[in-house]
Amino acid sequence: MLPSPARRLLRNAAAAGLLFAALGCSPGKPGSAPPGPAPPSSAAPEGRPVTLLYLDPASGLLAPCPATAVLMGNAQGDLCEVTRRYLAGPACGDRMPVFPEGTALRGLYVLEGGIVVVDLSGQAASGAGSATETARVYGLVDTLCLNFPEVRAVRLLVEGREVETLLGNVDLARPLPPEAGLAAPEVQAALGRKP
Amino acid sequence: MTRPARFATRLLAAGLLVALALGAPALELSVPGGRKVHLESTSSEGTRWVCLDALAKALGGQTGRDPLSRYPVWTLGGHRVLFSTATPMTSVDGKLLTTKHPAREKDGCLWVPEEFLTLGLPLVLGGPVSVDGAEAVKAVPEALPKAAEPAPAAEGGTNLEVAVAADSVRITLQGTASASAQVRREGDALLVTLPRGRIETGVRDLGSGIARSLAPEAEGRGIKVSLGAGFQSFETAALRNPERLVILLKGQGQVVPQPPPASPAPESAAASRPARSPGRFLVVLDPGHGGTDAGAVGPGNLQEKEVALALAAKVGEALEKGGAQAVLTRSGDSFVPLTQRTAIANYNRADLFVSIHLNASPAAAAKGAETYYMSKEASDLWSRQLADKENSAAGGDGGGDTLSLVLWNLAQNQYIVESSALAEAVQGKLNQLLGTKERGVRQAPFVVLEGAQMPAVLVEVAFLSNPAEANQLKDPAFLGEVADLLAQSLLEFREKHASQPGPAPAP
Ligand SMILES: [Zn+2]
Repeated sequence: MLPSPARRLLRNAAAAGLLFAALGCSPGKPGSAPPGPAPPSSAAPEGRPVTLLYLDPASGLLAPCPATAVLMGNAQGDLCEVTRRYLAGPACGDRMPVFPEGTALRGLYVLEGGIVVVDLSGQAASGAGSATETARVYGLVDTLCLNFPEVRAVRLLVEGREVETLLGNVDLARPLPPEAGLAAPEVQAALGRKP
Repeated sequence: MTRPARFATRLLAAGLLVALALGAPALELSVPGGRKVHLESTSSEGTRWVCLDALAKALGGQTGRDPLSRYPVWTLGGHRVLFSTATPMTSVDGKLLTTKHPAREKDGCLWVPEEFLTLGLPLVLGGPVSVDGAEAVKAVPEALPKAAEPAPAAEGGTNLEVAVAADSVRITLQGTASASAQVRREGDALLVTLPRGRIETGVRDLGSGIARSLAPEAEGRGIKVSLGAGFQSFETAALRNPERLVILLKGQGQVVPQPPPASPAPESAAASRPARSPGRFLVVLDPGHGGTDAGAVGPGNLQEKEVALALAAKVGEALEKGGAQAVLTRSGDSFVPLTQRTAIANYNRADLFVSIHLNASPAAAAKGAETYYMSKEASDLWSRQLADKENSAAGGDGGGDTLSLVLWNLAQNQYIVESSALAEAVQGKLNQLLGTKERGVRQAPFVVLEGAQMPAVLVEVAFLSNPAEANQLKDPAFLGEVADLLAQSLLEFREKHASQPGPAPAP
């Protein structure tokens, strides 16, 4: 059962005819996102290369880290999969994770107009500093926008609730479009392409 | 919300509850027609509050929610009042009023600050209103320059924005036809004419000694600005992204015959508004965090909130030495909500808003300064979404004022170009001191910047998570050096941009 703010958000979206797909992700292990690819399913899936953006300590920018994710061609399920993969942290030695260990995906909803709502567990809101916060928020937002061209903006919830900010700065009251300037030069063009 | 922030919110709520429970004597309202109305009030934060439902019961009308924004609304005799609980703004028939406190929702009531009774009620009731026999306040409330007008309905529509400062008046025309507008002086007036389209405005009283008022001209294709005795010269600059023409009307030196828009605020509010010296350069400095929100914590429990406050105080001193005026959003260890920090800058009509923070990163080696200004991507998307909602809500009542009030929260949209130049100026100075090159100016939609009606930046001076930098931040001499440089960058920015209407082109 969704807590009421998330329900309200979705109800408003539905009332406005905006709802495109609003199914929760199939439950992951709470508190520990699976580090590897998703468990095999009956559709005999294949791994697809994806690009995850993590903190590059040298430049302070979000830099690419290649990974493989099992995608089924279903936008909502694939977004869940890439988000879980993202929260599990980088497999590239020179990149740093941006979410605290144990941050889990509670739910993910796709609204019309390329808006994705991502509901994260409470760990997402611990820590301090705008460098930490922008890397965390835009690590995920830019990663989803980079891998799914149909995604235009991402709205973040924490524990099913609308929050003002994660760590005191970035406005989470509205869906966030990607911020190419916080990403490494090699992915800026791909992120900036969004209309 | 972080744990300290949650705690602080609870603490505030508890404080308000106690204050409300204590109560305050009934308040006597004298309204047009010689009628006297008695209302129960409560007292907190140095002002009295009345419940909107009680007000509506006494004076009539309907209360409810605006269908688009969900803001509380009160309609009476064809007038429509929209309250914001996030920012100290109220819209009366589309006219934006600023009060010291935003309305509060508590215990099933919308609590409206006393200031609204003397500022907003006269507009609704069509005559002067006084509280407890205090001298009636003239019923001409101050209208803030609107952050953004509703999107032009027809192609070729041009929006108009006016910002009145102590020593200048800035008129911004935004729209595709704005760049080719003709501007010429005729006697005591300045005439602005577009080659096509319309300028969306009515008659506006500017209350400045430089420009007294403006009115539509040439069947809406132009405007006529009535110049005041303080007018000296004007300059124009065509800016892109978005397309706009900035017309800067300059006053004679420091002498300004009248202060910016006459403040008809009641005495209590006037006293709490720091006096802005005419012609002076005013900067609102915002030391980040405070109270239960410590911000980042470095080695030896060095807290961001403390360093930020010490730095802001030093920057303020350096600015005052340089002939400027500085106002701090907090002078002690108190919790101030983000939107209230921006509201303080707007309320004081600051020339610049600078939020001061210390950074932290998961990368222990991260070092140097970073300066943020408002994200254009986010600002554009949100404005567009609001405009779309507005269009799709056609048929709803009074949508236009809803939009302007909602867009008020995105006021910084109009100042992104200026803020970018300010960020470059600040960052350039700090890079010199800290010897950093790789980190620098960045854009992100920070809550504290969004509503600022002036160039605004957030500067992360150095990393508390970096042991070497944290060590430097413990040294008062180093803080003094940083503060002097920050103040210098702001004074230089002012020098540079006071002499030209348009700052650096968009990056
Ligand atoms: Zn901070």
